[in-house]
Amino acid sequence: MIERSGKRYKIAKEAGFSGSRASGEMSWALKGIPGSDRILEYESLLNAVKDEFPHSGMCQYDARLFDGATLLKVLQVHPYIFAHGQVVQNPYFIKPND
Amino acid sequence: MIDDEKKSENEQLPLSGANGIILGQLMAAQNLLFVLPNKKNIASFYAPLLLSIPGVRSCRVCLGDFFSKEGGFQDEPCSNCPNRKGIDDEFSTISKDIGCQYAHKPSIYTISLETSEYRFGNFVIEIDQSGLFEL
Repeated sequence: MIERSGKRYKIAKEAGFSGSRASGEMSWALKGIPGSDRILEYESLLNAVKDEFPHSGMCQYDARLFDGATLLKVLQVHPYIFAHGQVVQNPYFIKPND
Repeated sequence: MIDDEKKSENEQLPLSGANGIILGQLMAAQNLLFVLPNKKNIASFYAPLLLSIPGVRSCRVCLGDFFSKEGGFQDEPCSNCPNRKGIDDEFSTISKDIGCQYAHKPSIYTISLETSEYRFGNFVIEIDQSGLFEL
């Protein structure tokens, strides 16, 4: 997944676009798909390689489906969050190297 | 996180350096309350969040019949709490006349979650380093 994100960014740049954006609805992670238990590791890695493909991504976690403890962990791997309709810096974010 | 790791983490964190980060996190936590759809999710979100505050050894987020605890909080007395009514509706209130049974225990802080008219539950926090809370 990480590798494909890089390729997608490269293709967009070569096509003349200034960048790329992605949005993901994350409830697939609750369907028992093999590897989905490593979702937080994946999300964290996306932050670690952002220098190689500085894309913008928005992960949509349905708070009705994910339990509160998982949502708190999700917060720790996202540098920005939506709060009251505004994009704000997330004080719970832990940098990948920390 | 096991208790020893948590204790070690707390001991290393200087109070002055922690304040800004922790205050920012608490303010963000208030904003996130509105996206949590029910008491079960609210309790399971705030319990590990409270445990991440320096000086908190263990905690219990009590919202009437829904609760979540972290850090090995010993909550045997809660099984007999009159505020547990067996109601599973999403947003019920608890009686203001019945205080939390932990209210006067040493090393434990109870914070009622209430408006002037209604009480929704309590944060029950066991303190590891009382000095961090006596400002």
